[in-house]
Amino acid sequence: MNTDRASLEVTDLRKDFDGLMAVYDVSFAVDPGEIVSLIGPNGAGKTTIFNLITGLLPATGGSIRYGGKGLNGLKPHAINGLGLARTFQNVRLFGRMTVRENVMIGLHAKADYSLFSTAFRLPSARAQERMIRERALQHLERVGLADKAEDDALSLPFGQQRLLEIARALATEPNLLLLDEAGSGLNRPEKEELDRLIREIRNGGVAILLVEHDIPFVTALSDRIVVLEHGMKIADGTPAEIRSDARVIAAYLGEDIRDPC
Amino acid sequence: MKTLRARANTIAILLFAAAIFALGAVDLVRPFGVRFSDLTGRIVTLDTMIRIGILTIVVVGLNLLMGYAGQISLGQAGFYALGAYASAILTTLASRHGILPGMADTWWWPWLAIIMGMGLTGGFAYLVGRPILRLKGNYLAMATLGLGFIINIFSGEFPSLTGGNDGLTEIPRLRIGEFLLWPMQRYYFLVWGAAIAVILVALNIVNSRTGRALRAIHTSETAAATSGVDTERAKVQVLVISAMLASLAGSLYAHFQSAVSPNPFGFTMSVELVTMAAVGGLASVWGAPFGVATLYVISDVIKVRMEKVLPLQGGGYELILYGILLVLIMIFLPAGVTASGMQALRRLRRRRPADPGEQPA
Repeated sequence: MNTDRASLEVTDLRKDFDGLMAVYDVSFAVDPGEIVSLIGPNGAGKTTIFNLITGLLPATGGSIRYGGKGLNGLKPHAINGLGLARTFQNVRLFGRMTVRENVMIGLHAKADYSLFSTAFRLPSARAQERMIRERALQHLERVGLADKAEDDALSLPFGQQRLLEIARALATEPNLLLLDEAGSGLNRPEKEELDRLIREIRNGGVAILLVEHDIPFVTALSDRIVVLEHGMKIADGTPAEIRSDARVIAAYLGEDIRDPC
Repeated sequence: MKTLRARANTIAILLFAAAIFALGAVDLVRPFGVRFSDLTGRIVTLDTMIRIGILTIVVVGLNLLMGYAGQISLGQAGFYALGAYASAILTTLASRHGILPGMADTWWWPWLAIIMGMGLTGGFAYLVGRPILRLKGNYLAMATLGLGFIINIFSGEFPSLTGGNDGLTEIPRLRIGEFLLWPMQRYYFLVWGAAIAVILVALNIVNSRTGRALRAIHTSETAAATSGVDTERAKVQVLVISAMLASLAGSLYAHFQSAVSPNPFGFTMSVELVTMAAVGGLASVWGAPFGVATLYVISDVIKVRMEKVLPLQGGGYELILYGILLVLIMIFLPAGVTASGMQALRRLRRRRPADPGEQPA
């Protein structure tokens, strides 16, 4: 295990939407190379936590640290620069751009040629542009979309759009990848492919934080599961521990989380 | 794919430049006594062509800002005015008041003034851009609208500096050493040379990392930000570029008219600029010259012909027409006239190989 990689530490995180406590004193950690899942009923605050970690929303209280560095108050691109990347529940690809160009956005911060050298097409700009194009293709190969590189991103079927979004996130070379319901809307074979991809990404040393509704999918994949209800953490443990936790069973109200549906 | 597109752009630029310079050469050479305006039935004159060239520079910048980055500006005429006034003030007042003796009378001083104007306008855009670009949609439209108004009103005040509502006159013509870029037949080449250079630079920006980031911001600012794009910086950058281009155009206008006043830089001009960008096609650098030309030609035709058909006190037909045109284009050709035309062309070209009659033996 890579010891130089950072851990994510969320401590007493709180988000107050005008009096509505969306996230209430939630603490958890994601260690290097771990797959951790956030589960909980709708409105439990899972996506809000993702938005707080990635800097899209300011936290009301508590701290988010990554590798000992405080993330509170940093802008999203700066947080991305520290090695955190994410996908969105409702896939957010860039329209009127090709599949490859979408991934090239993920590589935006990997090049540093100036606007001036862009405007006059100086050799440094061209060389870096070529590098970005080639690297984008490598990331597309990882998710199996290399043959669609020049297609319009929004022309892809939904399952492949999810994969493209993951490729775009991977292009930023994260050490922690946050996947917001990456499996929703996917059919069985697509989900199996996603399961394989997530494991492969983890084996490459990237920790993964997953928000997911599909309990069997989550229990099969996760090292640890954090359960939320009404913005509060009610359980945190291995899949086996979670399965037998009385509060978790109650939270899912009769829904038998032990049985794959 | 990419190299193909780059090559197509190079060819298009060369063809466009050749056509523009050929048109300009007509008036220099006067073959068989033919003047440029004779070619167009006296509708488009060389004067109009120069104005089209000047506004093309503004609209290319506006297109980067609106068409690519999706940030509206209803105050672009303000930046245009800043450039015009910077040139006017620096070239007239400096020599009149004997400031910078020996410098203000050289041939290169007005050129330096153009660059200083671009720098000042760009710096101003940077300062206002940070707070303003946090706004989105209608709020951004309102803020830029206000910005345009403020600049316009200020340019009518401070008579000792701006000449008040009468403006400034006797702005010198540009020259290179002893070579005067005047009459119009010569100035035409300067304006269109600048316009073509601006188109070239804009195409380079669009097809680069910066251009990609702008297009990404257009669809989803959050997704762009979480993918590592400093969205705030990118938006400010494109505003500064568009402001500097507007300033350059303003300076060219000042040296063309030899006079500036607040009047041409008001709200109407901002709306015209947006209309031109939309007609040419948002997110289309090539659309700019065609959008500007379309509006100019239509309004010139209307000014000349309509007054005979339907005499209306004070005219103002163009404004009515701009409105109608904008609505029609948004409904039927949302990608703009040029972009829609190019799409149709591409569709035709794609169909062609399937047609055996077209295949060379």
